Amino acid sequence: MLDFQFICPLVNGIHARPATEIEQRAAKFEAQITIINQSKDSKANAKSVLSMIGADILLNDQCQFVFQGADEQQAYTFFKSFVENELADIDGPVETAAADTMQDLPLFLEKAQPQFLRGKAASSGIGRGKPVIIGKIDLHSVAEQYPAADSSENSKVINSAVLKTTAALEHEIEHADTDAKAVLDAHLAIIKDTQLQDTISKHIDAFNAPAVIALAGDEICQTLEGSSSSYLRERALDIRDIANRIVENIVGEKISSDLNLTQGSVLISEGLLTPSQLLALPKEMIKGLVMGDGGDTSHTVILARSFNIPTLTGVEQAVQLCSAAQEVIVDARAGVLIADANEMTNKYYQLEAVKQAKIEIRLAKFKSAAVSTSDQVELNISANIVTSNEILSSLEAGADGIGLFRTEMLFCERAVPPTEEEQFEHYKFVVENAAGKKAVIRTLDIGGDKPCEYMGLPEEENPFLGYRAIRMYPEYEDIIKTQFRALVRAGEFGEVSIMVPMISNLDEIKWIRNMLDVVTAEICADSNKTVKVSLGIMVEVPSTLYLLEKASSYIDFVSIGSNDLTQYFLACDRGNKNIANLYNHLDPSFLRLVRDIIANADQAGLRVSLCGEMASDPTAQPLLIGAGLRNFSMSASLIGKSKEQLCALNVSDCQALLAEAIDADNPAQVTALVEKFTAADQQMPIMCKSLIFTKQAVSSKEEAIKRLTDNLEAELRIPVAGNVEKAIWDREAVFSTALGFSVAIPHCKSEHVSQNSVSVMTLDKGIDWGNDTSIELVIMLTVSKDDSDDTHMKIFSKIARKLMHEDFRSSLIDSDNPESILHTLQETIAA
Amino acid sequence: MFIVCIAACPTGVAHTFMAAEALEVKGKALGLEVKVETQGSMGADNIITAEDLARADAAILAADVAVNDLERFADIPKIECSVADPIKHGDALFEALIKEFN
Repeated sequence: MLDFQFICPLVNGIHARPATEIEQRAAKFEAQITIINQSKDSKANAKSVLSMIGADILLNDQCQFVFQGADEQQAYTFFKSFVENELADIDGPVETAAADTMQDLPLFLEKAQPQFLRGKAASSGIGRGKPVIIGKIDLHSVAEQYPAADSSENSKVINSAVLKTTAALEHEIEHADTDAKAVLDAHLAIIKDTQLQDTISKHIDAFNAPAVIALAGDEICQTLEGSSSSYLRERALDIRDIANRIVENIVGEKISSDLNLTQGSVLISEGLLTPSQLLALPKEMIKGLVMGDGGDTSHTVILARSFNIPTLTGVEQAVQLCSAAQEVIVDARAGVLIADANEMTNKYYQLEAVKQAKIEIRLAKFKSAAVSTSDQVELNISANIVTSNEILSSLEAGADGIGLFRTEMLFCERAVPPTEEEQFEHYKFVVENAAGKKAVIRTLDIGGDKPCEYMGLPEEENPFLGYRAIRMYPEYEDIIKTQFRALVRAGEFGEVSIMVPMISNLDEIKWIRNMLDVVTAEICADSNKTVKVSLGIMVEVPSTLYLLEKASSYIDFVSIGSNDLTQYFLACDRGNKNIANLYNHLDPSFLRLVRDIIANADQAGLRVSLCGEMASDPTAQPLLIGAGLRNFSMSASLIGKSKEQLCALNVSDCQALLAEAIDADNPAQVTALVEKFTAADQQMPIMCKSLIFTKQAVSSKEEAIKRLTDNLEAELRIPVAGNVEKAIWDREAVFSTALGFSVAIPHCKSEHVSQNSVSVMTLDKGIDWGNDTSIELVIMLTVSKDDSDDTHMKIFSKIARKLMHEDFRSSLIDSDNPESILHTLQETIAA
Repeated sequence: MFIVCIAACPTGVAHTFMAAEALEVKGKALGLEVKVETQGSMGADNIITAEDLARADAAILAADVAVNDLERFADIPKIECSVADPIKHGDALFEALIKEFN
């Protein structure tokens, strides 16, 4: 027996690729070759890839090669040289997904160091649940679909399927490029691996051949999933891949499985989930959705939004991260997917939930009431929906009506268009539930970008400027007429507002007017009914600005589709990242266009609303009020917050602001103007009871700072808690603000602070503030960057001075009454 | 003995004033005359004048940022320290000062 020691030089350990390399070399020798991982007290057969993977050999693990048999000397010499000269270089770098630079990870989460991936938030919210990998096939349920067989039958069928799979892999390897070839080579090694064969033999008595493979796959994956290396855990996917391929060759057809969600789940998909896949699942069980692919405007994302499912897109390697996880968190606010959260990560989400609950309470009063500006101009805040039943949740969220019901979901993902009756039921449902509130239903907005097979629309190079919406209505008159009929019939149950997209000239308006008149006449003649129907158009093509006066003879209302209007007016594709900087509804020229459209619509006596993202943008809102907009339509989840913001505005101030904004040079200047305008709003007192907490149970410095900054956000003193939290930590990094006497004074002077504040927290027991300083009292000072007034600074300096006096400190530390602390502080300032 | 002092910290919001208070309180307790100029975020306050400097025996510059008009103190004995020092170790600071310059 011969042996030598070595230290694993591979960054990702001995995973499938290097194991394959070792296995190929070991196969040439007669001798038994064993690798002992002394660091993990595990050992592996060097002639089995799976065995080596299972030994969990990671970077810098202390290992030993052991050779025993006839040619052990040759094997020893060969491998000694291989380990010294080649091993370190046999594994190429593993590509990692580029970090998302759009948004920093929240500071508290960064400190918590969870296992995570970044993604683009496509539907907001935070959800957690069991990861369910879409496309991951449960072989056990596949096995149940086939008859039982005995072990000799199983053995025969499996042998033949393994041979077929091997042949297929070999064929693919011949045609594969380098990267794919490496993976396929590893797969080929797995299928030829003695451990796989041994494991299959072990389970050969199972119910039938697919069941044997299912059990063997599970057993091998279990070893891998127990590895401490995430890279090795990911390799379980390779095994599952191979197992699926073998089973497909056993049953002779493609296999798929119906997902049966029995508990709160997060759906993970490597590619894009189709809308029908999503629709087929029980919504109440879906706590989150993660896709490797899928833009903001995909139907799946639109659906996810409508069902309030937190969704991340563009998450690469999500399947690898989640396949071994018990629970994952989809945080579509921070744009992060977390597997098996640790204690501090859970703390983060617990604190976030507390903050959200406070904000919800604050917004509750706006949800149930109609709102007006501070100078009593009435406003209407409606909801955008994509499915009829969303009207119920929208009304609950405070919608004053439906400003946009997109009907495309009724038409897509199916073989034939919906019947008049089917559509009628949906439209009637919306109109009835609107119960006298405005319900705007948009007719089919479809083009080459939204495939509808039965329409046979040609694929276009530039679908947004092409054959879409109203432009194709004459060719598909049957389909459109059916939709108009269903809409008009719904008008019997309450007023229905029909809105037509993509209008660019008067002839189109005349065409739809005529269509509506014909249909209305037919329906009313049929049954002597009376219907209440109004007609309107989307304003998204800039030419409509000059059409409105003439259009008013044919239509009753317009709705500005600010998303498309922005891209058409500024000639920039909103999906093109290279010109994303151009696509901005705060562009001064665009603001001027919107102002003129609203003015022209008013003059023509047309009701005007706005249903794009601009409607819920807090920066755009004062400008829109200034432009004369009174009807807003947006995602239901944003209604409470928008109502709160809009209520605080005053029309004449907003008019002055808009005039300045239109005069600005660029969107950045507009943003700055609006920020200044908002900050000038009424000042809050620097201290108040809601900023004082006594005898709190707090586990760390991180928690104390997060709770105090979160509270400032809930109290509307800062717009985003995370930014101020960061500013506080930046200051702590210079040197700790705890300087003895059980007191810490975290503080910052930051552009992220809108209202100067003194926050106080006393603790039920001391916490470490760094450098072994125990703290019982936290006084946090948050100062606005452009605070030119010395009054508040004088207050801060007085408090700071006073903290040097023990009687003052102990009167704060000992108090369990926020009121009395406030009183003590106020006395200090007055002195 | 008359001591002139500067207190200045990075943000100029809190420690500048805590240090100033500590210097004044400790100095007084030791029977010294102390004048502290704060260089905080609202600018300098309680500025040390040429007259003060003419009769000052020593200076304490407790600062973690550059002190404005530092040249004023060129000709008098001084201790330079962190803004945290008077807050944390006020007694030791004055002890050292007295030992050095008295």
